[in-house]
Amino acid sequence: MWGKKTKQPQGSLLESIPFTTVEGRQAKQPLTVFALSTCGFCRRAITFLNDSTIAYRYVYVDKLDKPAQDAVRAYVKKTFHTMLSYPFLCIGEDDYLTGFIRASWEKELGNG
Amino acid sequence: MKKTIRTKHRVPMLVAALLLTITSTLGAQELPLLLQERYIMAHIGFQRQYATSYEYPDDISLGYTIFNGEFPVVIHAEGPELSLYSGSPLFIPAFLSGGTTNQIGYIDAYSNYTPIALLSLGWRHDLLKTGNLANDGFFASWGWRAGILSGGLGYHFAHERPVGYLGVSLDNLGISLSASPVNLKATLTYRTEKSWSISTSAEVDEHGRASFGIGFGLSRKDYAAESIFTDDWSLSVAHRGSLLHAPENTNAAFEWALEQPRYVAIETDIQLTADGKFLLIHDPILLRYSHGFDMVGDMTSEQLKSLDMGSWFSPDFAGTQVLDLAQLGEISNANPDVYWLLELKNLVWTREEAKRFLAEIDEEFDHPEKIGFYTVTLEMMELMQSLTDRPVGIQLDTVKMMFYYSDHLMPLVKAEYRPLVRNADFFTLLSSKFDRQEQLIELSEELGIPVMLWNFHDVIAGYIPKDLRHYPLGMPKMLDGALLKE
Repeated sequence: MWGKKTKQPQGSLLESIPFTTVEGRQAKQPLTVFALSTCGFCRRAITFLNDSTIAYRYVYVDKLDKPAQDAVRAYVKKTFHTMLSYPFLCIGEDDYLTGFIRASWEKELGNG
Repeated sequence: MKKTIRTKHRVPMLVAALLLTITSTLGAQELPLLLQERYIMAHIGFQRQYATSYEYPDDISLGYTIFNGEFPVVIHAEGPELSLYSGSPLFIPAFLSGGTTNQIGYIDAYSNYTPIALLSLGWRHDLLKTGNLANDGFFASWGWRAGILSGGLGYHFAHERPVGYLGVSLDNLGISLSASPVNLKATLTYRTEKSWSISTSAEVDEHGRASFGIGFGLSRKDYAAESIFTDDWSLSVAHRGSLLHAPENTNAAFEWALEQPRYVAIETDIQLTADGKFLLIHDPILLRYSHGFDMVGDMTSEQLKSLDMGSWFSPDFAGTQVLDLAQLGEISNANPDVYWLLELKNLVWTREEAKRFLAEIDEEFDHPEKIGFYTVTLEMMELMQSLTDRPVGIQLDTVKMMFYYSDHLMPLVKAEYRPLVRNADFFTLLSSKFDRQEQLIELSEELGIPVMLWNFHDVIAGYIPKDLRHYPLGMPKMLDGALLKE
């Protein structure tokens, strides 16, 4: 009944996804970004993460094959109960941010 | 002299309310599949009376609140009172006086709810017959919000007293002050990241008697409403470009929408300015964009274009300008695959204004066949239909005020809708008024036109009748002349 108890980890859906890992200081929760190679909001988000020297992993979903894209979409839907929009930042498996509003990201991830 | 309350029903009532509160709040995470856009919160409070002759003694209060779309319903059991409110969450705290201790959760409502000014109506019942008139009867209020400030004025008819309220809500902290001829009350609420909250309050009545309270609360916000839609709702339209990721109806919002692969169409809003220009702006009043109470229709396009339409959303977007029709044309021309739905926000235009609008569209857009319109009045729909072969839909919420309907009322609702949408190419509704997607799907199939549901999120979700699925957006007219003439 209480969310966390019923929530199944969906991490296995992402097993085959070739993430690029960026080293840095560890955030409280592991950070994963789903992005598109073509999107401006995604570019700004990734630049922000790089500048903040935080550890995260990302993948350009448009560069993945169809089954892998479906796996990412299913992962987001099952874990966060929302549709995938880009960029999509997973904060552990409990929280997420979409789009890129600098103030929200700074608040969520710390200033830097 | 201290009055005592007949407490025969008091303990069972409090226990029942407590159980209801706890179970339903804990269950709230399971509810989103059934409900949409709801915000559920509960609180329990304790109060110590320092007054010597207050109407009721040390107290426990319980509250249970559902904010449902635009029309929040608040059920509030508190000591000897049972209260029922509907309307703006902004002003409710002002009436929680006369022994009330806390207002847990309203801080969430402040930050998560869009209404900036709304009428509230309420009713309180003196459940335990304490004889306290203040606990009985109707009240009405008007509340508003501007940035972090909120306030309101109201009147309690039974008690014949006015009430005023002022509040400040920061990210995790809410401070409020309410005053009436019989009391003055201050409340401080703190909410953690994870929905727990604590509040304290202090109150003085007209005889200088004080009371102090402390409360704990729990609130739950539903998942994004989009997650409730079944796969039947296959059409995804970007609402005002974006509501959540960039200031609505601006370049940044359209940039966002154009980058999201899921959208085939973008929705935006058109208003006519005092100097006869067509600008992309949603609200008729500039208040939400932090530019006071000026009306769009009274201002020139030059005045409107000089305004910063981004800072109200986030400092990231400071300096963003409102767009006009020609600028939208440029965006459309650069993205020829994208369909556009233009909501005409004015109640009615003259025939000349509508003609000029359509002429400007033809002039500025390389692909006017990618554009559909929808209107907020039947008169405007008929006007547009008489001037263009493009699709013209209707925004039903503004034509017919609809509330929540239960299953057995749905046939009646459908009977009322049918004549209104008969001539439309599609119709739109606020989704939080409808938990019954399957009923709307039935109606859409019956009428043979798409239905689109909007809410305070990024996505307008559309259902396209089966026979129309091979047409863009489910609208044959989107294919324009060639096909229609066949």
